[in-house]
Amino acid sequence: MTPPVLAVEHLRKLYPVLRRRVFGARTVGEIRAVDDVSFVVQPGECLGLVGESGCGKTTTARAMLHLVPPTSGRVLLNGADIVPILAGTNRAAALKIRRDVQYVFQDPYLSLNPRWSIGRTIAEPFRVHRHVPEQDWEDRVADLLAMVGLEPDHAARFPHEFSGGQRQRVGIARALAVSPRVLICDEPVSSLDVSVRAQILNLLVRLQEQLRLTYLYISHDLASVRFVSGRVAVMYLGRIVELANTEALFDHPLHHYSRALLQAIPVLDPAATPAPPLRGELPSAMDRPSGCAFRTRCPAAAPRCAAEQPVLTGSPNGRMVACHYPR
Amino acid sequence: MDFPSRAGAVRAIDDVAFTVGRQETLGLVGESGSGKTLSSLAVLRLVPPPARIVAGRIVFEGQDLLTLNSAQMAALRGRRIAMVFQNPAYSLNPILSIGAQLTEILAWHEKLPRRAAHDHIAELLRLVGITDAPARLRQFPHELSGGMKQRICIARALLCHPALLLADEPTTNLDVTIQAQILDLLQQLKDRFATSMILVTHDMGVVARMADRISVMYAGTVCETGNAATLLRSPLHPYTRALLESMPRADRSYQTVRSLPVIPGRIPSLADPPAGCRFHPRCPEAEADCRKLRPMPVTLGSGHVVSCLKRGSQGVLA
Repeated sequence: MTPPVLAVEHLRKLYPVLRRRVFGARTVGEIRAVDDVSFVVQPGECLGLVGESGCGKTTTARAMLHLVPPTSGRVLLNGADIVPILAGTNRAAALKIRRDVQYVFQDPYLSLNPRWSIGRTIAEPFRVHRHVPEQDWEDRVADLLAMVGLEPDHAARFPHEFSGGQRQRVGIARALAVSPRVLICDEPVSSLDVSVRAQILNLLVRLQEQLRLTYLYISHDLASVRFVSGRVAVMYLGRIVELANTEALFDHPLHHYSRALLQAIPVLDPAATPAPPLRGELPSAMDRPSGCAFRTRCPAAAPRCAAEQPVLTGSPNGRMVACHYPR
Repeated sequence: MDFPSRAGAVRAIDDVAFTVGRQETLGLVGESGSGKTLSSLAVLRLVPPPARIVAGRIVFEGQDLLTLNSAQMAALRGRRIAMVFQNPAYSLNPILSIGAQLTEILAWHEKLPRRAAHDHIAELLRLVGITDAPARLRQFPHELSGGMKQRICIARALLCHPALLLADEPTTNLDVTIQAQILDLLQQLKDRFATSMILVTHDMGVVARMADRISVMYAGTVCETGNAATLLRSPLHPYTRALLESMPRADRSYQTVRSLPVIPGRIPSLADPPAGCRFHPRCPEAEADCRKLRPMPVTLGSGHVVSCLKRGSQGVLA
């Protein structure tokens, strides 16, 4: 078995809840945005991270790259813990890691500098990482544009001249400029129109095969997750509740939340009878239910669920579920 | 409907026609810029200035709404035709309590005394699944979750038992599990109050679940209208077909399929729409005539209307 390219171990990100006073502030509680999250990503695979808003999927990704400092936990890239390096003062070492793991952001309108030409945006990583001699920048930018399906002369244009789908292509080209091994894609198609989503999804899959990339694909849209991911982790209130192969998860979810999430997706068949909706709303992260956080909405909740927090069990590369009474 | 601009008027919706029967749900589907929201706003004559409705008729219960004066229109809005907007956070007044916002509507339209108004509101809140009405009425929008706010907006829309409910992307900002709750609720209430509904959305799954009939819009025009089941199972217009095929589906396995069929190109700019059929630059079936002639709607089978030269539409020079 090949060693995982990326392994997240017991990652936690807590935000203190402060009550402000005249002098300073007092901590009165904490929000567990990411709570003991562990998973591995094998080379060349795409792991989907799904969940509803506020479940901690984006915070997990940001904490992995130290875009928000994690409270505790380890993030192993090729077996070495990158958390202390990214937190440390050795800029060269941190840059080396950032070359290996790149991020594609959700909103292609906000993630491109409106006053920079596309060429300058894509060449910016060359300026930062100094891994390409300056006389080659223009050629490399043209290569990258071609790779994501844009024209070389687009380099002189500005973001406002592009549609959402084209901007997302630019965002992908920028991420690929440093030849990363891992791409973290955070809702890359959510802000795009339906008719251009398929184009970007196809591009991501094609690039993964061509460049042998490893993906962490974050989305609330289960349909696109099913298309791109080989394995899927389902998050609820900061914790992974189920981790399984895509087919297994969609065909037979073990966790009651995974099942409810899948049943809630409206299907294209008008004859289908919709399942009764999940009752209640996502509890506030500030006062999580005791035991299993999902028990307040779970159809199978029992007294044990309030007393004891279920642990994610199973084999890390196969199927894992955190539930006392899985389906 | 036209938007004036320096380069001449931009026709945002062009020759759009649809009908909604009594107690029927019409799904108005399209991507951004297709004119679906503007079409629904036009029904209430809430056209955002400087846009203007330049031609057409909007007939509601036998009356052309475009001939009414503003007082007559104001008496209709919220009472006979009500709207649920996409973003519940923006469509509630942040500095008024929920109770104040709901009683205002009843005071305006029904001249109900406070006491009776409160009872009526409590009853409607119960129907939208809000149990502790007295406490909720004292709360302000920021104290409520997105799903809860949308329930309030739905209650507000139904206060005067409207004959027609316009719902513009009512669940787009909500999580899927909450979306399922709200769709369920809309369906129940529509049946209970015998309301007709125009559901505006970009989500084919949502219309499949809710709509009796569907109109598909593209670049300011309607390209296909039909019975929901027929249209989704056997779409006639190339755009509808391509759109349905290009969507990844949660109920389909992609283990062996590594690419989705795509619609090439992008949505055209309305300032400079393609001549002839507006979909022709992206259409796999386009021929010479499609570049010149604009297709007129043609009815095929039971109420299935399509605008496509390749399906028997008459073409006119546009």
